[in-house]
This record gives sequence, C-alpha cells and structure tokens, in this order.
Amino acid sequence: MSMDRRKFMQLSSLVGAGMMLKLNGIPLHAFEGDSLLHAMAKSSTNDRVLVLIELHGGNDGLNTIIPINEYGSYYNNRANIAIPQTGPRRYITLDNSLPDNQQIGLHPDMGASKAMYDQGNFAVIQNVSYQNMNGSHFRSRDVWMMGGSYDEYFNSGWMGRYLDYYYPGYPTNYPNPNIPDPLAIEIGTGVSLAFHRNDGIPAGLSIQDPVAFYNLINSVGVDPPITLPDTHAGDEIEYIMQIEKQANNYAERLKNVYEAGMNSNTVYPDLYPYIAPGGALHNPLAPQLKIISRLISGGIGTKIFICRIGGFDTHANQVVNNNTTMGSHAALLYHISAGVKAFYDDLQNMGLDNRVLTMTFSEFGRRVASNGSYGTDHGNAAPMLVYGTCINPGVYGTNADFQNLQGGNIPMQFDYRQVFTSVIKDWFQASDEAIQEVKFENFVDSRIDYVECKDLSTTEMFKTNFWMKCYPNPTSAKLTISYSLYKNSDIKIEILDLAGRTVGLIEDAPNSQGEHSIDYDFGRLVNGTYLIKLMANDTRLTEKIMLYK
Amino acid sequence: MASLNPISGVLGQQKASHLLRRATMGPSLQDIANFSSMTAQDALTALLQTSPTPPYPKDPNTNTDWIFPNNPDPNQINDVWSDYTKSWWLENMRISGCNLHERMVWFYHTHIPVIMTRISGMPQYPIDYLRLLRYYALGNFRDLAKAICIDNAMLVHLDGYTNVKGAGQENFAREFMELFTVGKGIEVGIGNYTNFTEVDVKALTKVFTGWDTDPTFQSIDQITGIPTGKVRTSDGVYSSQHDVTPKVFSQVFNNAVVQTANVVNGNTTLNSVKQELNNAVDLILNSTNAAYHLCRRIYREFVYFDITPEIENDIIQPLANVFLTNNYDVKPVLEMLLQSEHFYDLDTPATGDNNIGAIIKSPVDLVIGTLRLFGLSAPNVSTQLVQHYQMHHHLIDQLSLQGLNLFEPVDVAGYDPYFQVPDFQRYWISANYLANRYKFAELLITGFSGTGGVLLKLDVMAFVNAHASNPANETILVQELVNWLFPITLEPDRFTYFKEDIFLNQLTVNWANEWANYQTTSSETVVRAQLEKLIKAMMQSPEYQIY
Repeated sequence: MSMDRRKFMQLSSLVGAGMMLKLNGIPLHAFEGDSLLHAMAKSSTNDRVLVLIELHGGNDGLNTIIPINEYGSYYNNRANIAIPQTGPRRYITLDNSLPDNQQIGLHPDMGASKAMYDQGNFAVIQNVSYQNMNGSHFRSRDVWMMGGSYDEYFNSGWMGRYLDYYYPGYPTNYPNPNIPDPLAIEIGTGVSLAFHRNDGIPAGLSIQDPVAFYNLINSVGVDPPITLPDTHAGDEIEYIMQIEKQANNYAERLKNVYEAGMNSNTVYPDLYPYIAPGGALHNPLAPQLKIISRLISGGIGTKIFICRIGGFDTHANQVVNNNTTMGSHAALLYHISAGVKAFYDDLQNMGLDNRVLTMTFSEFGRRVASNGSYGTDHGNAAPMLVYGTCINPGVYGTNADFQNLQGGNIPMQFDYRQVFTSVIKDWFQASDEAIQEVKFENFVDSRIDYVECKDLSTTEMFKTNFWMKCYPNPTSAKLTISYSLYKNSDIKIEILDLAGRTVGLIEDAPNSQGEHSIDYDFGRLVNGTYLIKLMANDTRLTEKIMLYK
Repeated sequence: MASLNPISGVLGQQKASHLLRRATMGPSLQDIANFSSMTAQDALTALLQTSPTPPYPKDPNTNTDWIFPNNPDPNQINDVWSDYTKSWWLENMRISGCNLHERMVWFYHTHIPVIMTRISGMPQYPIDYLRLLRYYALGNFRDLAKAICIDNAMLVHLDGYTNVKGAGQENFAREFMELFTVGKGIEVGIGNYTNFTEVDVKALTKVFTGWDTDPTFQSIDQITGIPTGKVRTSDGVYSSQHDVTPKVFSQVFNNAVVQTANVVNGNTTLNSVKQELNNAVDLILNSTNAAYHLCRRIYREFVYFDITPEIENDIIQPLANVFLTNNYDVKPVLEMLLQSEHFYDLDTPATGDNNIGAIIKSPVDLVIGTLRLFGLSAPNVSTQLVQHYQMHHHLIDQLSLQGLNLFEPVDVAGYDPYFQVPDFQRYWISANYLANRYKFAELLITGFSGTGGVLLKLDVMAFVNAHASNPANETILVQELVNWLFPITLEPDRFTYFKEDIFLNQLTVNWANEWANYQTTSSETVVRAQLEKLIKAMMQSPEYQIY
C-alpha cells in the first residue's frame, strides 16, 4: 500500500512547555523510567477518547477535498457545482509541499481545518469505502456501524464489541466504583446501531443536556416488575426495564460530572457567516462538541462519543445556482470545520486535547458527475477527516485517478476498517484478543498509522526530568508523592475527588530543580478514587489513586 | 409450526382487546365490549370498512381550508401550515372509527414516507399525499405504487421533478425499489442487491424522466380525484423532457425492456409517458419480492418485529402468495393475518413465541391510544379552532420528545424503528424517549393548558365513575384498570405492588370508606389523589409501553 505521508518537520519546534502541557491526562502511574510507551501498551485501557462525527446522508467528498492534480477532469464532471480554482472563494490549498497526486484543496469554508493542519492537528484519509459499496443509505450506514463487509450481517456494532470485550457482562454490575460512567455516549436522543452488542441493551447512552436529563429521569417511573412472562411481551418489558435502569444508574453521575466540568473561554461558532438556506444557518455540531468537552473536563471515563450532523444527502441544490461555493453543503462544511477547531481550542486551553481523537465518517461519497439539479447522487469512496493533537498530520492515500473511475464513482483506496483498526489498536491500545473480538484482526497489518502522540516529545520531556510517582497505590492511608522538576517552579499539589472537587491541598511542597518526596495522609478521606494533580508553573501532571482503608 | 388457520368462535374480551389494539389507533372500552361478542371473521368485516376523508383543516386567519380552489393565505408561514396539517392528521386518528383505515394510513406513511420540510412552501402537497394514502389504505397496493410516483409531494421529496432526459436523477427510482416495493436483498455482486441492481436503478430513472409538479392543481387523477404532478411539455401535446430510449432492465427482471410508445421527433404523447410509468411499475411489482417485502412490513406492524425462518416460511410466504393471487389487494392479507391462530398465539403450545403484548407502542400509539382509551376530546374544531390547534401543538411536541418527529423522519426511509435492524421497535426506547413517555402520563393528568385554560386533561374521576363496575372495591377496581391499560396479565406480586404500594399507600382510612365518603359528601380530594397516583404509576410502567 502506498502511504507516502508528509514528514512533520515542525515537530522539534513544538517540543517545549507547550508540548508538555499536552502530556496531561496520560496515565503516569504505570510509568517506569522511560518505558512509558511499553507500560501503556500493556494496560488494557487508557484514558483516551474517540469522538466520531457522523455526516448523515452521504458526504460529497469531492467538494470537501478537491483533487488539484485532476482539477480539469473534476471541473468537467461537475461544472455546475465545482469549487473554483481562482477568485476570492477558491479552494484552500492544503500544503504545497505534498507530491502532485496528494495535492488537495479544502472547500473555501474549511479555513479552520487548514489552520489545524498548520498546527499539526489535521489529517485527510482519502477514498475510504468498502468492497462492493452499497448505494443504500441504510445498508451502507449499517455496514460502517457493524464493522463488517458488504455481505456480512451482524447484530452488533464494532464499538459495541470493543466495549463488550473490556467491560464484559454490561449492564450487570455496571456502573461500579472503577467504571462509574456510561461506556459510550451519543449526543442526541436516540442510540444508533453502532453501540449495539450481541445481546441485550446497547453499550451507549444518549443524552442532550445532562442536567435536564437528570431532572427528567428523577421525576418519572415506578418500581420495575420482578417476574416477567416467558413471551415476547416479557422480552420487550425486559428491554425497557434495562434501558430504564441504565438511565437511572447514570443520570446523577452525568450531572455531577457535567457540573464539575467546565468549558474554557473558547467561543463555539453558531452562525454560518454567509447566506445559506434557513435550516443550514445554525451550527448543529458545535453545541454537541461543547458538551463533550465539558464532560471530559469533568473527569468522565466514557471512551466513545458520537455526534451526528445531517443534511448531506444532496441530490439537489447542494450549491446555489449562481455561486458554486455557497449553499447548504458549504454551510455544513463550515460547521464541521469551525466546530471542531473550537472544540480543540477549548480542550487545549484545559490541557485535555491530547486525550481526544476526532474523525468524521459518512455512509458513502457521491457520484463524480453532478446531476442537473445542482446536486450529486450516491457514489462510493470519500475522504475521512481526522482531527487531534495526537495524530500524524498529512494526507493518506492519493487523489483518485479520474481516468479510472468505477461506474462514475471514486473507487476505494482504503477499507474503512483499516481506519478504525488504528483507533482500536493504536489509539485505544487494545490487545490482539480485543481486536479479534471486534473482528478487525485482518486489518491490523494494513491499518493506517495516523495515530501518533508525538512520542519524541514525550520522551524528551521525561528525559528532562519532569515526572511524578505516587505510592503505594492503592493505599490505606499514607501516600508518598515523588516528583522531579527540571527547573525551579511554582508548585501546587491538589487532591481531587472524581467529581473534580478539591479535597486536599499541599501548598508548601519543595519547588527547586531536582527530585523531591513528600507524604500525604489520606486518613480523613473516605474510600474511593482520587486524583493527585501536580501543577508546576503552567504544566500539570495527574495521577489516579485508590484509597482502601 | 406457526399457522395462518383462522380461529373460530366469539372473540371474548381478551382477544377482542388484542385485535383492536393492533388494528385500530387504540380501542375505547366500548369498542372492546362491542367486539367481544363477534367472531374474528365478523370483526374483520367490520374493521375493513373504510371511513370518509374528514373535512380539511382550516386556517384561522381565513377561516377556510387552503385546498384548491381556495388560496393559501399569502401571509401565513410554512411552519404554521405544517402544524395545522399535522394537527388535522392527529385529529383524524383520534376520532377515527373502530376500523383498520387510519392504522393503514399510518402504516403506509411509515412505509412510503414524505418529509414535510422538503415540500415546505406548498401546503396543499402534504394534505394531498395523506389523501392519497387514505384513498388506497385498504385498496390495491399496485395502484398506490403507481399513484405515489406522480404525487406532487413525492415528486419534490425525492427530487423526481428534477429528473430529466440526459441528466437523470436517481433518487426516486432507487428508493422506489429499495424501500417501497421489492426491497433490498443481500448484495451478491457489485451493484446487485438480489432483488434489483444498479442497472435497474438507471433504467427506472429513465422511465421516470420528464415529470414535474403541478402547483396549479389542474392535473387531477381520474380515479382518486386527487391532484397529481404532470408531464413536462412545451406544446401541451408532446413530452419535452422524457427519455424515449428503450429502458433495459437486468436479469433480475428477466432483462425486460420498457419502451416508449408513439415516439415523434424524440418525444412522445403525455399519455404515453404515463402509460410507460404504469408498465414499469407493473414490471417491478410482478416480482414476488415486492409481495414478500410488503408482507414482512405488515407482519412487523401487526404482530412482532422478529421474523424467524419459521415465520418467514409459515407466515410470510403464504401471505405473500395471497397478496399476489389477489393482485396486491391488501384486504385479503389483513383478513388472513388478523384472524389467524398465529395472531392470537393459538398455533403452538409454547409461550416463548407468543406475541400478544409484544409490540412497543410508537409515540403515536402511546399518545393517541391513550386519548382514545380514556375517551378524551379536543377543543371543538368549529368553535375553538385556536385552542384546537394549541392542543395539537402540545401533542406534536410530546411526540417529538418521545422520538417521533411527526411527518419529519430524519431519513427518506422513514422512522428508524420501522426499518432499522437489528432492534426495530426497540429504537423507540432510549433513556430520553422512555423518560418522556413516562412524563406524558404526568402532564396529561395535570392537564395541558393554552389560551383560555385547560386544553386537554385526563380526569381520572370521570373515567372511573363512567366505567368502573364496583369502584368501592379496591381489588376489582385495580383489576379492571389492569385489564384496560395492560395487554398482559400481571403476576400476583406485581398486582399487589400497584394495589398496595401505590394505590392504598398513605391512605389513612380504608378505600371502601373513602369511596363511600366521596359518594355522600361529593368531596373527591382524597379519592382523586389516590386514583391519580395509581393511574399515573400504571402509565409510567414498562407494561403500558407495549400492546
């Protein structure tokens, strides 16, 4: 497989205080010397989060990512909707230094994604699909969610299977002190196929506003029945009871996490700044991302979030007839691009950005040739947009060869499972067994290695002796906090509970360059999990501690 | 083995309740009493009666409807018309007779949906679409399939009006096969979905070229009397945008070729365009796959979502044969299914596959069914039109909170629970939706208000006084409510829970005395509080979510 990707030359310039901030959140308790990566690979789960954005309806990849080296063919196929090469609303060239067959232009409303690319936080994976792409929205969406081939029919989703492996037997015995949070959250009101497991209720929970959700859940319902009839009616009652129990179990926790969390002063975008059809003016994605950011900052342990943005089934009028860069599709791309940028600005302000990987997907791309109604019909492969501070930025794959289209469609270059396998293996660092459970084992070797936490810089940081270790863990009372400072610093050590409340403070800790050790007495606190947070100037390290008396 | 053999004898209360819960928009207690003494066959004869189209909704601004030749008020805004149209439909459901007609309108909407915002700006279109579904709801599916192709709402909704020769627009042709008729089978090769192929999508797209909407409502279907779209023409005689080349279908349709008749200079007569469309729809519907697809949908609507190989073999296949034998007349299919041993759980001794009570109510079933069960009425449409709409606005909100955005499914395939594998109806239940279903019970007992006071309220005292046979006896009273509200019998511990832990809880004196006290003093505070608590609790239980 050809995977010429851009070497990220600016990397060394980013090593420094800014990069160190990004270390926040990596579980340091397993750290021994500089075998951090080794230790992390051994642990079954890490604290990383996946945010998936579903572009509902089939995104027109060719007007999202414009193939510059094929521009002539591109234009000839879709003159009535083509993004222009010149003028104030021309496409945005992503990176002049890329080879010809990777030269791409972003839609002119995706300036925020260009800015993220320049910071090293945006990648494009070209021409993603699966063999025998199914032209049906519904079947194709099912394939993406189920994680199978075009001819496979699973009763579970790939995310559901991943969660099932690490959290077996859900929902029995969940939540518990170690896993207090929903395994997955869909921002919205219903739960899609993606979180479905082979038996029982979905592993995911859907919420909109966590506080309103709590108030609603707490105002309704009665005790559930104890004995159920052995009929299909009994099966349905049991399903309803389990969903109800799931809601009761998580409502208060979500409210507490949400209230303990915060957003930084980042302003999330709302209005599309140009003219668009009324329904497309407001950003439907940004408020969803804002809630996710706040939940993460509140300490939620949820692994996967799904957001959805609709309106991509652009058979007609995806652009307005006198300006191919305007219209509903343009507004949607703006909403994604600007919304995700705000999301990362917000996370970065709170030192949480390195924990979050965000990517878009859509059931299929659209036909290369436009139709007579300023729109496009169902097609095949399309790009996926990947955002995050822990990625290897660049363009994966090459622009399609317009002389070799497949039934008028962009042929597949990558199977979507090659992309998601990287999520499971490299991002979540799941074991081989887990990958087998997910049914992605045949894609491990061909997975796309866009996940990269700029480990060089991480290693650099440890070499410069900024670290913290807490032991014993678990502890029954006394905890030793050892840390090393690479320079004289303003030091504060806080003890937080999982809701984010400060329950202890060490203000006079040694603050000179070198290694230090201090003791902290947990005697007055109740059993549970606590966070030790070391702040040295504007850099933070956090470690989780269990207290068992 | 599952069996379509008809049951015999009078239905009795339990079977009559089951039949009416499934076949209508929800029975009243009187309906159940009426049907209890009928045989299944007599019941079906009654249920298959059609009811006339109710008077069209009125715009309070003009005090008239906006159906041609009336003109829509130019100052009215689209969302308000949409609201009125939805209100009209919900009201039709609420007041519909004890028959299958309104249920089948709903069924066909979920099967051949239209998204109202996609046709916004033409407020007559959604009403004509509903009229069309109503016209064929208990009629012939073949006729409905032909008519829907040139329905104004559908021409806009799936972009058919933009489909012209030389620049095909596949949206409608694809969904026509995939969703409405033959359905999508397993993909056995590139672009081959067993029941149709991409070749057929392209061929059928060409068949459908050259149609436009008719916003002047001058094109009227001779049979239904309902406005339709029209063939694009520049001279009023010949088509101008219809593709007259031969349309070659794949081997799935035996390589059939649909030809355009009367071609003159690359165009044809308007009538030939329509004839060609009818021929092509006939071709598609001659595929047995269409009958199977529809019968599976019907089974899920009336029995249960899980179609096992046994059900496919014993139920779907014979139903599809009946459908085909009767040239897609839907009545014999409904008749056979709804009086079968399978429908009443009488075909196998095992209970594990029993289906009574196994359908999760859609929000429409929950909301409208509740109104009908308790006999609640809306503000009068003639004398309190504004309040009438206000009340329905509340109901539309409630449906939306429960996961049903009425007339606005997210997908062109319709609402998820009707097509989304693997869980179908269970998609109605998420933490949010379920909580809002429960909340509805509380809001209904408190009452929905608007201009001039309460618009809709469940008065438990009125209901119990009208229907309970012996309200002073708490056991009889609770048992009757259980029979009326739940489709299943309760285990003793569950019955005790509702009776003791809910109903009699916090009652200082015993219930019989409280009731006697109410009878003599007319002071209802105590008994009302207890009854409201009980009925609210019953409606906030999993058992009330099914039928």
